[in-house]
Amino acid sequence: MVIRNERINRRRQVVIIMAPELLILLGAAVILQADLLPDKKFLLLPPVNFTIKAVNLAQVLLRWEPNPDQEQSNIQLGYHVKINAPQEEDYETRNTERNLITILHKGFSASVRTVPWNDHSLQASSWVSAELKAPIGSPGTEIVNLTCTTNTKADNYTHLRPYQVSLHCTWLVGKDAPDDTQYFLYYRYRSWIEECQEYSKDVLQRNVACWFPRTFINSKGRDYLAVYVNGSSKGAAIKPFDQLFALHAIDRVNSPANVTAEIKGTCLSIHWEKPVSAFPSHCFDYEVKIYNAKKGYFQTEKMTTNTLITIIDDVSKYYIQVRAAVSPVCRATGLWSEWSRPIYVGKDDQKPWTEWFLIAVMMTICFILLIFSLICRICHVWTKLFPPVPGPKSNINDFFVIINNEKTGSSETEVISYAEEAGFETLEDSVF
Amino acid sequence: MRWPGNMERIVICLMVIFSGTVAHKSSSQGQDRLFIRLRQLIDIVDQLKNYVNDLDPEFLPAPEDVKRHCERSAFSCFQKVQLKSANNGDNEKIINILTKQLKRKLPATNTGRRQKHEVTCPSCDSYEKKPPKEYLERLKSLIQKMIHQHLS
Repeated sequence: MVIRNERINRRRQVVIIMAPELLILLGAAVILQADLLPDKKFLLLPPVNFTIKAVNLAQVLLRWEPNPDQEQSNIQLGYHVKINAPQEEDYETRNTERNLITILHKGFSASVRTVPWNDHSLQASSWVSAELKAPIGSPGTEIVNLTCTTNTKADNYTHLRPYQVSLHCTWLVGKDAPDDTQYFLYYRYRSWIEECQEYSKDVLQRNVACWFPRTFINSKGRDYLAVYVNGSSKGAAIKPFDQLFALHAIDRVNSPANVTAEIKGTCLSIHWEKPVSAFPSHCFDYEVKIYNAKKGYFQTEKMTTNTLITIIDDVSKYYIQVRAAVSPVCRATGLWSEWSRPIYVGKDDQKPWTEWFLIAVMMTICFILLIFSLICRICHVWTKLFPPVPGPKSNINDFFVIINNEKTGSSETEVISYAEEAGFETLEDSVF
Repeated sequence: MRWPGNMERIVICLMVIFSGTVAHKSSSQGQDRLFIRLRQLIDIVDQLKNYVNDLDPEFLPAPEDVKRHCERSAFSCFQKVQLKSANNGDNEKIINILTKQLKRKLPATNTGRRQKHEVTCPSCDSYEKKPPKEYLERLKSLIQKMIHQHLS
């Protein structure tokens, strides 16, 4: 019994000693196996079945599959997609398909290769390419100079979409397009496509402009607007044309609303509201233009708030205009809106008018006085020319009579003085 | 023993009022702080754009068309990126300073905390990678989206 126990104990001891050694050997073998792998040079194989398909206006779907011959490993793989035409672009993705927004009227070409996703020491695979040929059509028949603008208007009918975006596009007929060519315009925003219903025509009745009063465009959106114009003619196959527009570049921002201004003493305060737009008020930059009518100079201020208070040192009429733009804080830099209709504030300076008026009055008074004095002088001359001759002689006779009577008595002095006065009076009268 | 009792009550009331005002202030300022930080970030990205030629041309994760409510998660993916400068020059210091400012944690908002648990957002690994120039453009676009969508 004791011997048996001893044997069992010994076996246990052996097992206890051997187990870690076995584990060490096993671990070493695993590590050695792992070490063997890099010597093999892990090769990345290019993807297979690379296809490009036009799925929509100015939209393609790139699709590929991982190479079935690729060795399985724990290295994460990704794909490097390179667009060669119409515009070079690169990106890496782990997906095996990609939707891409691009113009197609010049054709489309792209390449894919397998790359390690995180480990950059491994070499990427070789390239696999595919392309979409440009659509058929006689060169020079496609439209040129396509320009589009969007505008936002308030829509009172629905609460779900309080703002409506309209779209207006114009273009020129291709220089080699036959006279009977007719063009048709389509736009795509996200997954909505619409055909134009309102066209403007040129002299030869060909469509050269298009108007959408309401569109599916979301003015706050960041997706591109795709516009496609194709044509039909009996004389030639018309080449289609497409173009992508970034919303911030074609959006015509409305002018600020309800611009009001008032002057209180030397304080000019101007207030306005945000333009009709889906963007909130903190997304706008403003420019205020103040024109001093008296001095004839402009003053512009850049603002981000809706009120401007400025001190004016001049009594004059001021013309005020404000314009807005969506701030780079909310959207990529776009165009300024039109200036708002000018509003006038302040009175025209009364001083010049009153001054001139006073001066004119003074001048007329002086003139009148001058004329009067002249007339008086003329009158003197008149009287000198035609003096009343008989008058003075009769009075002189009375004068001598009086002097003789004076000597006789003082009772007659009253009569004498009266007679003297009467004589002088008549003398005066005769002079004037 | 009346005196201590009343004093305690007064102290407790004052503490409650004080904590109430502080809490209210912090919650209303949270939105402003986030707005200010996002505006600063736009300036930082614009500055980094000037040094795009000095950056390592390695492809960086650049989320695009981010799902709604996943903007913060996508922004953290932008932040995790190591922007390295390709050549050692004077610009390396500036790039490092700007990158540090980019990696600062965004101020939280109350709504953000609630929604994190509801929506599962894609992991950073699953977004596609772009060269540094497009990485910065997409980052700016995401910040602009966060400004006008969540702070209107």
